[in-house]
Amino acid sequence: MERIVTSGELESPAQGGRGKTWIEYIQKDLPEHLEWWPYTLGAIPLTLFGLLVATGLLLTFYYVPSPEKAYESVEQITHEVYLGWFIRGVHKFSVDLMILFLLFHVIRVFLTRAYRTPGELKWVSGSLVLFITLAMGFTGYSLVYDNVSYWGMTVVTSMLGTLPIVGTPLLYLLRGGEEVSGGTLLRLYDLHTKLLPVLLGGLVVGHVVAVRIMGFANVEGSRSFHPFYPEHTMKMGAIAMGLLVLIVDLVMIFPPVLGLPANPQEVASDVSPPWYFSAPYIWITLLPGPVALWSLLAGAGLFVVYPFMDRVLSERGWPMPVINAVVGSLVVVMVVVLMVLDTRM
Amino acid sequence: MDEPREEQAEDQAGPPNGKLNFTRYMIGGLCLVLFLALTGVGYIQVEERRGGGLRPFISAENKKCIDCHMAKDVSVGGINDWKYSRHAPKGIGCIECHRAEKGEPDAYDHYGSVVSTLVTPKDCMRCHDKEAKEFEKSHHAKGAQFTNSLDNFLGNVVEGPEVITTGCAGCHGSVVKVMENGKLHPATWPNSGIGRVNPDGSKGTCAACHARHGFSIAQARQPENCGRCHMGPDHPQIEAYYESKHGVLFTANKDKMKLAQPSEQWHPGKDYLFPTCATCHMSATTTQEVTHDVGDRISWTLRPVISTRLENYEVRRKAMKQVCSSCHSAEIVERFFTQMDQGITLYNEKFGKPSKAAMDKLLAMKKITPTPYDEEIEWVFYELWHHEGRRARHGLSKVAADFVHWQGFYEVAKHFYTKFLPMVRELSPEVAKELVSQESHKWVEKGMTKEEIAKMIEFYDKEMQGKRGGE
Amino acid sequence: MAIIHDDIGRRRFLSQAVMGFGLLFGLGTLALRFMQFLVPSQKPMRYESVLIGTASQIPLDEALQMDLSGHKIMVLRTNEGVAAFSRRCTDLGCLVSWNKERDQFVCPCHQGVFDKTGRNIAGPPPRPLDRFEIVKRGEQLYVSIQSQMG
Repeated sequence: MERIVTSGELESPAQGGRGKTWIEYIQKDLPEHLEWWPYTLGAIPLTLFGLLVATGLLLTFYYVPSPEKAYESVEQITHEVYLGWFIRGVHKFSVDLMILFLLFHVIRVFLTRAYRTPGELKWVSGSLVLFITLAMGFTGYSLVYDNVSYWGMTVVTSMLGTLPIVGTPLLYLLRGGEEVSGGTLLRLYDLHTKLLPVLLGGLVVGHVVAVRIMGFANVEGSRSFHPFYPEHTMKMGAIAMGLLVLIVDLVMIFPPVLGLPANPQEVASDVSPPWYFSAPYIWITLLPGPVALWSLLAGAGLFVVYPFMDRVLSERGWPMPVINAVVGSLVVVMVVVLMVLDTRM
Repeated sequence: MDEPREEQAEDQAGPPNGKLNFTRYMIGGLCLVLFLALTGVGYIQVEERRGGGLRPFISAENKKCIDCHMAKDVSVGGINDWKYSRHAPKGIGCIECHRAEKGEPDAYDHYGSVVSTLVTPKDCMRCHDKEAKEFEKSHHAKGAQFTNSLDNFLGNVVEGPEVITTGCAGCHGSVVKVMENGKLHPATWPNSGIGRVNPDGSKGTCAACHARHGFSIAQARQPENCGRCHMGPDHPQIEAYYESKHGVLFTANKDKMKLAQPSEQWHPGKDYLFPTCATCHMSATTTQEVTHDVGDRISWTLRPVISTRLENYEVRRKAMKQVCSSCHSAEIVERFFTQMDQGITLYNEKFGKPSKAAMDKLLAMKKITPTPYDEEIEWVFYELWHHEGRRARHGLSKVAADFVHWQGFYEVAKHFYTKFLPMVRELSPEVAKELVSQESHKWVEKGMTKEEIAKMIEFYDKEMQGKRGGE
Repeated sequence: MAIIHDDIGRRRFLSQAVMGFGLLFGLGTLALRFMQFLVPSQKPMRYESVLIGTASQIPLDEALQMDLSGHKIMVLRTNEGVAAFSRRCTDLGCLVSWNKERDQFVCPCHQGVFDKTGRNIAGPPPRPLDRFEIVKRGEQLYVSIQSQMG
């Protein structure tokens, strides 16, 4: 079993060193492999998270979470308020890029098996971050109260309602009643702007702290080498700036649009969720209800505990790097196929 | 204890520092690009929201009206129309126009407010009193007062009273009657005829031209607005307009007309170039103000059997000429009016006066009954002056050639000579003789003189390659 | 690998300066855009004349209350003429009313009193009532109000 010898241990008081101050903790040397770009992917979601919080906060100054006013307020932001289109556009693109880069980050971590002992906690906290981010995506989109929002809300909460035991209470909790109503919108708004961001923030901090404290899994030929500050921070800074430029340009070229307002009387035939929910959406469409739901939940569960599975299987001698590569590729291909199917259907 | 630290620091100040500078430049550079992009962002204009964005201002009182009406789905269209009107952003809403005092003939209690359904010039006058006063003295306001006229007999008796309700009164206006319960009599309302007689004594309705509830000035300036009534076989103003050059140019340049501008910024020749009905008959020019008395600039009346000059016609003619001069030179203006006046005089002298004289004589001689419309000759005479006679005159006033000739004087002449003249002759040969006693009618009885024939043949030979008429 | 110690002196200063300026402009503009988004713009105001009728339609020594595009106005007619006052008390913004017997405007919140020329004569108001310009065209009176451009 590989284990990294952290420089902190060399200086621990127990071994006669003088111990570390917190600054030195932060300054801990990073293995040089972290310089390579696939290893910087994690910094991107962090930057985007900051951008989302900032733009999200700005949007709350104009958004009104009532079914009568919600769509109108979003329309007002998009078309009337000075730079409203810009703030909303940055928010939307940041979400798309955030989830995209999170997925890239997950794939990278999965392929390099960076969750190896003692770093399982990094993965667990990270997977929770992923799920909550997706929940934020769902709740955020519901606030627009266009047709996709309304029917998305209805379908997702219905699905959760089918779970045994917890299903109905959960349904009532999310909907604020039996049916989708103004109460539902208000609850999703609270989730999106209060509970989930706090939770997410805490988990992100936890994840980053876990990464810093537990160090990095060993990579062949990589030495402890470059300091966090200023080198790595500057690099993250440059990436952040590049990201900002990219987003601003994207928003200018593709300003945000607004779908048709919610029509509770009729489901439009072309309602489909945002791209990051395409794959699960098609999965649910293709498979019968309970099968689809349970398989998704099982998949999610497996995902969270994967590092522990990896440890057990490695001990048995299974070639995990190869397995991961194969499994990873398969999953990616399947997801892409499902997404393509969505565009066709 | 410092030394090892420094060494460590220096050891670490290796190759990465070259990259550090590079990274700093990268950040700086990217930030500058960001700065440029964000500057561009600030200049991107948001497209104008539909409707121009002027939001209606709804006072607490009006909110009550609107909320209840919207909830009960009554007159929702009118309310939405009002929202886009110029009244709305100024807070001029339901109560401001529909409010009434208890005791007024058409006032009634409506869920706690005293209102009247009818909004008359007296109501509009609260703010628009100049326009209302001008309108009251105009001919438009007298529209419904044809109770003693032949037209009234035609509608009520010859046709039927229901025709008055929607036919005649649809343009001329009804006399609105209030029933016992305070509601309006269905035979008299709804009605937006321009001369509508209202229960509060005022005459007319502004909504005849400024359609409620948008009261749009652009809509009022459209020729179609006037053409709703000023059309048809008996006075084809809108048709003649669209035949005329003015009409053709208007149709081709509608999008440049800026119809919604306020009158200070809607001057012909300057702000727009192609006149509508409003331009000549009402609207402001660089030297004249808007007038809601549509007769202010009209010097002839083309309505009666024989056209006459109106009172103060020189002043009126001058006013009209000034409008023409906004675009045209004085020579064109003079010559147009000369041509028009001469044409109207021709109608008067050759057809109008003689035919009227003949009918008067026949009546005096008791050759026709005093009851109108019971003999064919009365219908022929009626149409002679009321239909084709007017068509000819309106064609003249608008330089609409086809209306002057084929739809005007041609039919006047045809009916005069082939219908009216024989009918008169049948009733009284002497009256018929006097009917065609003028020089201009000589050709019917006596044919043309030898000199006239020779001249005509010369014309055909020279200009028409020897063809004779009719080939 | 050659060790390039070029993170010294001028080079470092220069790169830091570029970064500093860049950050200032770049992030500064971003922050500016954020602030501009939050602060509703002062749309260019234009004056509009709203027709209110003729002087004779306002009873003498009476003040007509009207609400034009959100502006709460009282139009008072006295022997000296017609004036349009804003109903907003100059103390803290409550709406004043016209008291005919006392020939004064009175504010109910802290008992501010204004005379018929709008001058503050008693109570906390620090200055006279704001006025709206009245334009006369012929017989008709118009009040000039500020309204936002479309």
